[in-house]
Amino acid sequence: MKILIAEDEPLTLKMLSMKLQKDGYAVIQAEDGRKALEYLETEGCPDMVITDIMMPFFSGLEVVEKIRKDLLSNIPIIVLSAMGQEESVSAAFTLGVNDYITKPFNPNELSLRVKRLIVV
Amino acid sequence: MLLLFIIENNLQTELIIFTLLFICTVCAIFFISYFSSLLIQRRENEIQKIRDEKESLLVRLLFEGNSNESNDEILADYDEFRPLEKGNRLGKKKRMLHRQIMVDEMLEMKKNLSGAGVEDLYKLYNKLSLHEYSYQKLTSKKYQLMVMGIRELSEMNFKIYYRSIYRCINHPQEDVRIEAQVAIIRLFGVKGLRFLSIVTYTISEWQQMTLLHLLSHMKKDKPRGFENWFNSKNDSVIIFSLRLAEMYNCFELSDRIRYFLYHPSDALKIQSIFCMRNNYDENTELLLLAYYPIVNKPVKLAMLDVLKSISTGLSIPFLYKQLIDTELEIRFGILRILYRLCEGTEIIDAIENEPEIKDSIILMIDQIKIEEQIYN
Amino acid sequence: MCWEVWFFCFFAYGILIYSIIILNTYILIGVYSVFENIQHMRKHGFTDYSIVASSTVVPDISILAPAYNESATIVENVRSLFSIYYNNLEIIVVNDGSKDDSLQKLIDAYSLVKVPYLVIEKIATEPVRGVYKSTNIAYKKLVVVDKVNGGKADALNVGLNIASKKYVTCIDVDCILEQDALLRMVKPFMSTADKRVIATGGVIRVANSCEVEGGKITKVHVPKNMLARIQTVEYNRAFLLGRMAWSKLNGLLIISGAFGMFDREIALTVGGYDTKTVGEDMELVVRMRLYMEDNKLPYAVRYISDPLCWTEVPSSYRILWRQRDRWTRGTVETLRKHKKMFFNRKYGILGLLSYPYWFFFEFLAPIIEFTGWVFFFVYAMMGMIDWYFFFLLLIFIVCFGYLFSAFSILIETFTFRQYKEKRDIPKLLTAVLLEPFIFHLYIVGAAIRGILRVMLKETAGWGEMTRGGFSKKESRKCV
Repeated sequence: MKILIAEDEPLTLKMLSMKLQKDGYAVIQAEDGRKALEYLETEGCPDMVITDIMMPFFSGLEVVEKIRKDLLSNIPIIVLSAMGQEESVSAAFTLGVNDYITKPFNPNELSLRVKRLIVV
Repeated sequence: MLLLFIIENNLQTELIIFTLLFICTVCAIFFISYFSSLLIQRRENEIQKIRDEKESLLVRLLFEGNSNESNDEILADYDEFRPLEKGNRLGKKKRMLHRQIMVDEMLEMKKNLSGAGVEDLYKLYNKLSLHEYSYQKLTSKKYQLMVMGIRELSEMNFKIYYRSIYRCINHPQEDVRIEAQVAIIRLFGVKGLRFLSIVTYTISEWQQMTLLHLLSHMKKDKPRGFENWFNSKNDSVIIFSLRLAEMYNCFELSDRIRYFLYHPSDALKIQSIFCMRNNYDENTELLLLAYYPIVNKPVKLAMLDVLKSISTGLSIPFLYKQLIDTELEIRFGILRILYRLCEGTEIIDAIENEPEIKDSIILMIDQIKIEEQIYN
Repeated sequence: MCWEVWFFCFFAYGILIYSIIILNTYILIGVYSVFENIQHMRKHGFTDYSIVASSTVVPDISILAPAYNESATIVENVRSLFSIYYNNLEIIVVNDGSKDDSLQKLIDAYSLVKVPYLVIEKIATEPVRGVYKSTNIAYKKLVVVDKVNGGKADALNVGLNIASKKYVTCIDVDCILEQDALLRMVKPFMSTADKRVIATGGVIRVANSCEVEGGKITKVHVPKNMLARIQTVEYNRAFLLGRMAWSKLNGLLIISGAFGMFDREIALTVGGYDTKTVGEDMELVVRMRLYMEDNKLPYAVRYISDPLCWTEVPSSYRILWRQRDRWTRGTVETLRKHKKMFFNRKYGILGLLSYPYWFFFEFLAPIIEFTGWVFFFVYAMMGMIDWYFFFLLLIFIVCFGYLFSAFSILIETFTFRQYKEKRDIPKLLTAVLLEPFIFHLYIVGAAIRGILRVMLKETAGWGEMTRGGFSKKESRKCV
C-alpha cells in the first residue's frame, strides 16, 4: 500500500513517514505542491494521499483538484492542515476530500483514520 | 588671499589623512564582511546538520522505540545527553548548542502533535534534563533569554518553576510580560487567567489574540473571575473578558454584558455586542434595536452584523424605516438582514415609496443574492 | 580682490560646508539606524508568527494590487498572492483600463464572472466598468475590478472604496512577497497599545537575477546587471542606514509604494491617494500624518526591517531615468503641497526634523551638486581651479561614499544576510566602486530634470515600465 505525503515542514514529514512506515505502508514524500503533482503525473495515483494545504508552489487544494478533476481518481484523500476554519474545511470537502484533520494532530488518531479509509 | 592659502593647506593635509583613513577602513570593512560571511555560512551549515540529526533522533525516539530501554540505547550514542563528566567528547559550548537545538526541535514538533505524542515529548524533556538550561535562561538578566526560558519551560509543561514565571506577569519589558502570560495559560489552562486580576499594563490586541488562540485549543472549562475582571480599571482587561465570555458562551453573564452597551467607550460597546451573538435571549434583539438610533456608525455596523445571526421577524418594521439611512454601508448591513428574513420582492415592494433609494437597493439585493449563491 | 574670486571662494566653501553637514547627518542617522536595527532584531527575533498564521481572530486585511498592461505576468502574480499564509484575506486586483488582455487572462485563469456590485464611492474615482468574482471556491478571496484608466493613484482609490477589511496593503502586482510578510506587517497595528498605528512600511529588496518559482523567491543572487547591482547597494544603504532611524523617531515620511499597509479608515478620512501627483505613496503618508497631528491623536508609523517584498529594479539607463525623474517629481510635489510643515513646531518631529531633512538633503542635494558641477566647469574654463585641491576633495567625498556603502554591506552581513554565496560580497564591492562613476551623476541628472519639470509645471504621467520578467531560471507549471 502506497501513501503519498505532501507536507512542507520537514519535521512533520519525517514524523508522518515514520509513523506510517511503522504501520506497514510504503511512503512517498513530497516536500511541496509541485513535487506532489509531478509524482502524480509521472507515477499515477498511489493508494492514498495525505496533504497539507499551505505549501510552496501549489496549494494542497490544487493537488486535490488535480486528483479528483484531472485524473478522475477516487482514491482516499486526507487533508492535514493548521488552517482549521470553516472556509478551508468546506472548500476541501467541496473538492472531494475524505477527511480533514487539523494540526496539532494525534498520530495515533491519524493512523486509525488512514486504516479506515484505505481499506476501501 | 593669504588667509585662503593657509586654510587650504591645512585642509589639504586633513583631507589626505581622512582619505587614506577612509580607504583603509573601506578595505578593512570589505575583508571583515567577506570573511564574516564565510564564517557565518559555515556555522549555519553546521547548525543545519545538527538540526537534521536532532530531527531524525527525535522522530526515532518518539515513534520507533516506545520503551525506555530502546530509547536509552539510541541515546547512548549521543554525548550531549549524557551527564557532564570528564571524557565527554563535547566541549561545554557545543553541548549547550546541541541541547538547545534539541529543545528547539521539540518545540517545533509540539506545534504539530497532540495527544499521546505530546506526553512522550514532556517525558523526554524531563529525562534529558533539558529544563536545567531553560531555568538558567529564565533567571538571567537579559530579557531575550528570559523569554526563551519561559517559553521552553511552559511549552514542555514543566510546572516546577511556575512561581518565577508568574512573577514576570507585570515585568516592565513587554515581551517578557506577554510570554509569561501565555506561559501561565499553557501550564494551567483556564485557571491561569487569574492573572487578569493583577495585570497592570494594557493587554495589546496581539496578545489577546495569542491568548484566545491558545485557549481555543484547551478544555472548555469556564473561567472564573468575570466579576472582578468586568470591574477592572484596565479597559483592555474588560475587552479581553468580554471576548472570553463570547468564546465560552457565558450565558449567565448576559445581564452584566448588556451593561456595557451603555459604556462611553465605543470599543467596549462593540465588544459587548459581539458577545451577544452567542449569548442572546428573547430580549436581546429588542434591546439592540432600542439603542440603535443613539449610537455611532461603527457600533451600528456591529449591531447589524450580530442581528444578522439573531434576528427574528420582530425587527423587520424597524429595519425598513432605517433603510433610508444615507450611509450606504449601513443600508447594506440592513439589507443583508432583511434578505434572510423576507423575499427580495417583498423588500422592493416595501420601498416603493422611496424612489431615490430604490435603484441602489435593487442593486444591493442582486449583489447579496449572487454572494449567497456562489458560495453556498 | 575681484568679485570673481570672492564669488568662487564663497561658493566653494559653501559647498564644502554643505557637504560636511550632509555627511555628518548621514553618519548620525546611520549609526542610530544600526542600533535600532540590532534592537529590533533582538526584540522581534522570537515572536511566534505561526500562532497568528493559523488563528481565526486575526484582523482582516485587503490586498490592493493595481495593474496596468501586465498581461505577460498577471496570472502568475495573482497566483503568488494566493500563496500568502494568512486567514481573513481579501485580494483586490484593479485593472486600470489595460489596453491588453490582462483582464481576459484573469477571467480565464480564475473562472471569473461579472457580479452586480454597488461600489460605495467614498473617494471619487474614474468609473468602474465591472466587478468580477470567481465561481471556484478555492479563489473565493479574489475580487477583480475593471475600471477606466486613471493612473495608479486612482486605481488604488477604487481599491480603497471596494475594500471591506480593516487594513489595506497596497502592493505593486509584480512584487513578490515573503509568505509571512502580512503577519509581520500587521503586528505593529495590533501590538502598540497607547498609539494608533496608521501605516507600516516594509523593506524593498532587489529581485533581479533571483530565482523565482511559484511566486516565491527560492534563491537570492546578487544581480548580474551592474545597474541593478548598484541599486541593490543603494536600497541596502537607504533601508538599513536610514529608514530604521526615522521609524524610531516616528518621523518616517515615506512608505514605499511597492509595499505598505494602511489603516483603511484613516486613509479614507483623508481622501485617499492624490491623483494629481506621481508620488502618491509618499504624499498619502504625509497627509495621514498631518491629519493625526492636526487632530492631536497619538499615532505612529512603523517600519519593518525584515526583508518582506522583492521587486525588479530598472536594469537599463532609460527606465532608470524615468523612475528617478518620477520619484523626484513626487518628492517635490509632496514637499510643495505640505510646505506648511516646514519648521513648524506644531507638527513636532515631522515639522522640525523630517520635513527639513527631506527639503535640505533630498531635494536640495541634487540641485547643489548640479550647480557645483556647473560652476566647476565655468571656473575650470576660466583657469581658476586649484586642481590638486579639487581632486583631493573629490576623492575624499567618493571615499566617504565608499565607506558608507561598505558599512551598509557589513551591517547587512550581520543582520539579514540575504547574500550568502562566496562571490556575493566581491560582486557588491564592484558595485560600490563603480557607483559614483556610472550611476550617481546619472541620477542627479534625472533628479534635476524632475525638479525642472515640476517647476515648469509639465503634466506628469506614470510612464510605462517595461516589465522584463524575472530570472531566466524561472520555471513554472500552470496546472
